[in-house]
Amino acid sequence: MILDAKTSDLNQIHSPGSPIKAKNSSVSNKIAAPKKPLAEKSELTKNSINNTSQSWFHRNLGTKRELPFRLPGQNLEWLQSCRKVAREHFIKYGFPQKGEESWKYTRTNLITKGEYSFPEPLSIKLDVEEIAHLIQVDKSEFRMVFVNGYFTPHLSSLMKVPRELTIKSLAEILDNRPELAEPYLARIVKTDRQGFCAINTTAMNDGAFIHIPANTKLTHPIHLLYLNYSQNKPIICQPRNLFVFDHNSEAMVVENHVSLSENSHFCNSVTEIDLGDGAKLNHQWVQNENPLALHISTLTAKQGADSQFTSNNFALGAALCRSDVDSKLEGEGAKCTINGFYLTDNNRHMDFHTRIDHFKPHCRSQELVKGILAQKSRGVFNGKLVVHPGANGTDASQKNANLLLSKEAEADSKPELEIFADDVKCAHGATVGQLDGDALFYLTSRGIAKKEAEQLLTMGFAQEVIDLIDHQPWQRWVRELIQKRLTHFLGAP
Amino acid sequence: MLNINNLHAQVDDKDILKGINLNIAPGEVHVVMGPNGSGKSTLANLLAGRDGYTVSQGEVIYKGKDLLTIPTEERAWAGIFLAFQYPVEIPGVSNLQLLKAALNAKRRNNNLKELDAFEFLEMVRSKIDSVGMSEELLQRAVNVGFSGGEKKRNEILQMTILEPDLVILDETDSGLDIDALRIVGRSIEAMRDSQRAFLIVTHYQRMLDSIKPDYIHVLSDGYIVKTGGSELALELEERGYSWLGKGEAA
Repeated sequence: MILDAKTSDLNQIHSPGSPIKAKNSSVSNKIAAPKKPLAEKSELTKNSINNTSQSWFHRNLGTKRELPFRLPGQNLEWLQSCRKVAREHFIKYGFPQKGEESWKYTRTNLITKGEYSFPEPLSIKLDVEEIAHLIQVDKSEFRMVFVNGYFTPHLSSLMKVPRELTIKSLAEILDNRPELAEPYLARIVKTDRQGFCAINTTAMNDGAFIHIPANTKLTHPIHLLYLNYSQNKPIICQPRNLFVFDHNSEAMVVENHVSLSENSHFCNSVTEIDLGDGAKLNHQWVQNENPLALHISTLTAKQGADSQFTSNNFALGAALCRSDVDSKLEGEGAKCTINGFYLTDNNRHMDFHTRIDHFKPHCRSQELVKGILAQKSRGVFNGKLVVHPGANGTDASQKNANLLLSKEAEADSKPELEIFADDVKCAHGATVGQLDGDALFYLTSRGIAKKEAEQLLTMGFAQEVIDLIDHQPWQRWVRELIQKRLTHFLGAP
Repeated sequence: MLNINNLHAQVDDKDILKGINLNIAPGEVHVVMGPNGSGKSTLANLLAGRDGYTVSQGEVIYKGKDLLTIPTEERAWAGIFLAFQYPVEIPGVSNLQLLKAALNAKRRNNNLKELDAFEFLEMVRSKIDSVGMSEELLQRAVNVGFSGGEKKRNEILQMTILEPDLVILDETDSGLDIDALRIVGRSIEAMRDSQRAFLIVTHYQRMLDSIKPDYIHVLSDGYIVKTGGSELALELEERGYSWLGKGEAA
């Protein structure tokens, strides 16, 4: 075991026959702040939210009159109504407030105080050569490149997409074949009291639309590459993705977020996923933006019977990164695996939230989330698991481990279990620790210099999550990325 | 090669070693025996460079240098190797990674060319059979999920690959079955030559069935209370330690 000292192990195994009712079981290595009632905000604060959210919206996305010219699908009544509702939600509730339990750690003021410009399509010219290092991972991949949120065909590679599949820009789908998106778009995520999701829904202009028809298996990964480029004023990008997997279909999708400039930018992405019965999605998410970037990511999946959703999330860059990965297990026997890894230094902040809803019997979910925190950085894991009435035979496990590389770093770990069914098995555990002194001595006694030994142990800590990427070239790529970052933190051996 | 003069050491202000004198010349095999808590493991760990010990008196000279001021990794480069009593599990770092990093660090610091992946693998393969380990264990994380015997054999594999000048074995025999013990004994015998010295810490005489030491020292309550030849082991086996008494007898 690599962790020692300050380690608190919390393991609860609930086996059949010993039903438990644990509500909001909250574990944190800090004393939790008293919960404030979230219910209704007073008239006064409501008005001030109205004003601030309205003015934020106008400043950064445009007025009600300006905005529509930029957005696709203007003639679609259903879409207009989604946007309108989302806008109303945002005006009413604004951005999440510190007092809200699930946002209490996230320093959203970094974002809400910012001034952003709405990027124009293709404001910069790029050659494929300039992004060669980002697209060499798997040469036979299907690739969609987005520059500042806009689909950029000349950098993409979709020539060989089989006819029966649809891998296209969302803007194009909304303009030409909206009926493919209509049953799903803005129906899987919520915008009510979800400020970031609400502004994305109101102002979404592009993203990836993927439809895999029934009984189709795609052998090569689909790579969605998001390039952000801010010149002076930070830009705001709001990618909106929709993946629809019909029954028994299977594919791998990689979302990859990168900065092309050193300036701050704000990415607020939303991904909705609908997995039919027996469908399998192998999903990787890598955020490696520059140290000034701000990143909010919301992903929600809806799973049919016997479907399998695996999502490996690597948050490596950005000053503030908050990522929410949720799944609703709506069919019997569905399986959901959400893994996460965050790596931070300086006073950067990483926030990883998951919510898994077990609605039906015999579903399985498992989570492994690891964080490496250097200097004064902070990492937060909040894993919520809800086992709804009737979801008997649920098998869920959740593990969070944090490695602190400095005394000033902070890890907050908060598993939340809400169980309303009998005959369930739920295990969770959280640890916070430092590099193991015995392991360090073991390595140095073999002649490995202290710095190199620290690197090996720290990389070894990350390895467990990296190994979960079930695709060799991408696994290697992520490992190298993390190795590079670690060398940067710890100094070359 | 190694001269320990009047060594006094404490752990958390508790006296553990109370004036050890021990001289080891190249080619010699020394065995340190003694009851639990007599300071055997402290001596072994202190020589290898583990933190947490305070040396209040005395000195340790290794190859003419003051060993106690040399950082742990540099002791390894200079040829010291400790086989751990409890080998550490290191998740996420493969056995092969550890061996290669260790060997190349030593070579680099002794002005030898580092081995590339191919040369290294070939070298490891040539040695792995002799310690009775399967190649599959090389790809696995260091000691993770290894049985007690596999962990000890892994220490021996590291020893044969790093080719140290002074081998310190800290209760390598404990927890081994007869077959594994024989393999360990054979590996040590095979490594024995006129230049290499061994300091073997053990509880039991059975380790000495396969290795014939030059000297046996009995450590008790921080002192070496008796030193003798290999015949001393048999006497200890028969009579235990109590007849030797405690204190500054030696």
